[in-house]
Amino acid sequence: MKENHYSSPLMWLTLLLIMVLGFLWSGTISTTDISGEWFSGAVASVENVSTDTAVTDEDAELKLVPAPRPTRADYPDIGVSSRSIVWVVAQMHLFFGALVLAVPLFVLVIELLGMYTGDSRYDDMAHEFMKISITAYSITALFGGTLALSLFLLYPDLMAYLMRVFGAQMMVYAILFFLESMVLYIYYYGWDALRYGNAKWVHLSLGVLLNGVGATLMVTANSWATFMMAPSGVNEVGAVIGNIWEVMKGPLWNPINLHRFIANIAFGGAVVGAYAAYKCLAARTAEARAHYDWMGYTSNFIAILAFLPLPFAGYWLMAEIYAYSQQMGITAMGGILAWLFIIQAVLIGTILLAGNYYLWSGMSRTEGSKRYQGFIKYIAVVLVICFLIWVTPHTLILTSGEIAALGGSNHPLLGALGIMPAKNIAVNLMLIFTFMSFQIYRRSDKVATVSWAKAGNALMVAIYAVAIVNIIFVGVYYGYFTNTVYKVGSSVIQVVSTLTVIICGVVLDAFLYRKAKTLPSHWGQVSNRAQYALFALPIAFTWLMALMGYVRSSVRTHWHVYTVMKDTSPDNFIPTIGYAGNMMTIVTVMFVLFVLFIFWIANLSGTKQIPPYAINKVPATERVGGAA
Amino acid sequence: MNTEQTREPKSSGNVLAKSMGFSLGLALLFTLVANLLPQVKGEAPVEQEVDLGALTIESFVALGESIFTGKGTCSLCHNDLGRAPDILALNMVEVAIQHLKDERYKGNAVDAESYLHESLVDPGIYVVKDFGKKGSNDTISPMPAVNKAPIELSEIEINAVIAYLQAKDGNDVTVPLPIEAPEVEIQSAEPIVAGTIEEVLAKYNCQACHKVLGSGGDLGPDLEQVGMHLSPEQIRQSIIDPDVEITKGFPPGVMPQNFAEQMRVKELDMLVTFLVDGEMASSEKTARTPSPGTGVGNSEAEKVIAQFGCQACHIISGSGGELGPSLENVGAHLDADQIRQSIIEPNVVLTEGFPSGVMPPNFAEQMSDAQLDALVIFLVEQKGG
Repeated sequence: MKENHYSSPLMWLTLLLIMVLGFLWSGTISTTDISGEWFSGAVASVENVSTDTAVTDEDAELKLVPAPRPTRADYPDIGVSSRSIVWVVAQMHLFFGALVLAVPLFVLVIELLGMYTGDSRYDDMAHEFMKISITAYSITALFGGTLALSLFLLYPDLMAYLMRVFGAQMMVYAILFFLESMVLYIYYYGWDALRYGNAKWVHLSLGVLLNGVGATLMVTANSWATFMMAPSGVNEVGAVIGNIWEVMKGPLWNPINLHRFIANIAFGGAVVGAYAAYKCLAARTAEARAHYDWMGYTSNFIAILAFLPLPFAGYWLMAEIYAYSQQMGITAMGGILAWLFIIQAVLIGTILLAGNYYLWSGMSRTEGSKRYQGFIKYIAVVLVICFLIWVTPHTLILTSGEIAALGGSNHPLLGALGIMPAKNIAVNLMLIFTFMSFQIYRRSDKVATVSWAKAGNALMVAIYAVAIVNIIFVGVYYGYFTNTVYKVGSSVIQVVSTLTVIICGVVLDAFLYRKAKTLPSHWGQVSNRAQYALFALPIAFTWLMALMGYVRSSVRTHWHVYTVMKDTSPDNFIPTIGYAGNMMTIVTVMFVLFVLFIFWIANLSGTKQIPPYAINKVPATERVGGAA
Repeated sequence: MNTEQTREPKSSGNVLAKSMGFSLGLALLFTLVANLLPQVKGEAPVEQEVDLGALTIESFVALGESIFTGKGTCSLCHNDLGRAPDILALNMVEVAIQHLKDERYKGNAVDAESYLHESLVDPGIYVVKDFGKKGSNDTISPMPAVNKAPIELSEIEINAVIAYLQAKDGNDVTVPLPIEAPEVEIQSAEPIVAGTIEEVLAKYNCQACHKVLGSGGDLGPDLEQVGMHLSPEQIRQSIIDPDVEITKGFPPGVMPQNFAEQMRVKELDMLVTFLVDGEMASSEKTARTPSPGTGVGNSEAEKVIAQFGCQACHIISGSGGELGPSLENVGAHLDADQIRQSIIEPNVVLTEGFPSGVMPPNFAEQMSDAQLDALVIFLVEQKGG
């Protein structure tokens, strides 16, 4: 299997960028279209009331109605915590929703690559990924339906209000769901029927349509969540005063759209990576092991590639949250929820360490990797130090005796490492060194043949050096020796430094390794431990999604819809971190069990029972059917 | 790293068990981290029951402190982390006086107390240097108005916070102690505001010391003919600030000093009018008789109604326009909160048959709290007959 068939990261990035732009465009168009006047019953009524002086009885009914103010007695009590039920069901729906939206995205890219390179293995792999997605789709719908029923049963006033605010947009969502289902089934089941020639273009077009509808579904549902966080298009008491477009385009809508879009890809890549790892470990033939090793590598590539820009989308989201409400931002980052970011550091550290470990292990596939193996220990040391800085808390809950022994609530060392400037340095360095692992992995089976190879390498080293020095200097100088305004501003310089390394690295290598000499590479020649790194990724990603979803939802504190509709239910408190952590593990384990079911179904579809009349003619070793 | 690749492939069951065990172990590790961290529960703010009768300055200041760190969420930003001015490290009375002198200050406050109140309910009026919203050049404050969502402090709670801010550095507490909660007053079965002069005299036990309406004690001066000697302003002052001028032969410090806080505006006006006239006034005469200008009896409300031209659109006490709903019977349909909201946010809930956007939405900015209170009290009493 030739590495250079799938070794064009520039193309991957370009395709990813095109898809991001396509997604944003599709989101904008779709939401613009649905802001037509037929769509906004409540809005039309507001306009009528404000402009017509001859008000009819019918118009009078359509006056401004504030958000409901339910009392505790208005929440049905079914004997189990309503929030816990909705928490589990909503999180399961979101996990599977993320998976089924993400997989077709990179399946389309892989299919395009297959067409571009003429290598049918891409096409086969893309088809196999879709096999996972198709079962996940049904489970997404089942959890979605359960979630809707749970919400209507347990939070009737909230749902009545949201129905009133979003009106017919909900029906558009339902219609899009039908459309998504139809296109998905045609795309999957028509794969072999539309595989070659012009028919392939039809199939690719279906893939684009599938992703367009999927992205629109996602941004539509996102608008409900972001409305609850930062309501727009309503007045101070929640009465609708804007049209549906004004309701949807709240200040957090696009930051959430982008963040979820990227996170979905990373999450989807990690889940299918686990599938490949499982198949690789259980493979009975060298070919199968090689195939699933390659599939796992590709999945990990997708997951880490999507993961690298995710912190920057997170920055944007948090910046917008702060701009909308400093109180909300501080509740998340510096208030009662702040400790959750220590767990986030543990999770992201796990992801980066697992991703790096997989890359280092994968270098055993190529003979040329010996040139770079000496770097690994240094990269590992940097990653571990940065990880430890990241998980360092700023303050500790201490007894008075401990405070006295410590000389204050901030330990001299922890105080300095626990604040954001130190963490910003650590995160950016972890990302840069993860990219370095990725880059040396990519280079390990190639030898540059261009005349300027040495100069190109020197340039790359210089870019790394300048970026690392810049990140540390800016972080230390502005973080510790100037005031808060510059402290915040310095993180932008650090992010730009990191992105510069990534973009320059990808572009430079694309030119540096043009017509490069390729060294022998052996797929399947990788340790089994490396496959467990591919299990670590989806577990950490799943837990991370549950954690960040919980933070996003909890910043509303005791409001269903922030500032306009209070949550007066028995569950209107923020639970302890331990309780939340237990819930996250429950949903993660449930997700893993369902995913195993999906993997089993995917296997089952390729299993054929041997006919009874032929059983005696088949050697004993082949009697158990099954796809490799 | 490739030593294992030549080993015999494992069975699917073995791989499944190992991968599940690994996944579960990792998930449990994350759970362990979550359970090792400090366990704090974030309760939703609970409305505190305050016994106004038992409230002292000390307990009022303590209430303010608990709001500062609790419901008010003030300490979220006002701490030593540089998010907002570190109030706990600053003498806020001195800071307030300093800010009042700043040429950038554009508000209406005249002293530290009013400045602090203003900074709580309208934080954008003066933004402390370097603490404005990013990119606003210190013209927009990131602080929410504490009397609105999501914080929603009541006037009593705001005053308690001010009392705390004044007291924490040893300054005098100038905010008055609340004596009655408006909500309780309105829902009370007892007459909320005395409707007749007899009720006023009885409510404040005037006749325990003064002779009036033919009976009463002699601990204080006889008030039967007081209108002959004192102007309305002097009578008003002698009620609300009784020790400023003492009637010859009567010692200072005997008459309660807190009638200004206890009496409603309407009651004080009724009492002053009665004492000036020096004759018995029936409830109809003092409280309900329409005045020539507005057709309204409550003189404070009368001024408000006249000043803001309410009768241009609403029928009040028998006269007015019909562009807005008649307010003759409004007290029978709406409670005090609803009336208050319909004045300051007229487009939120509309009366059937009347369009939105007609009534000016800026009365909250134009009316003082006292004017709004007077108008609300008057309208609550309009129950048609």
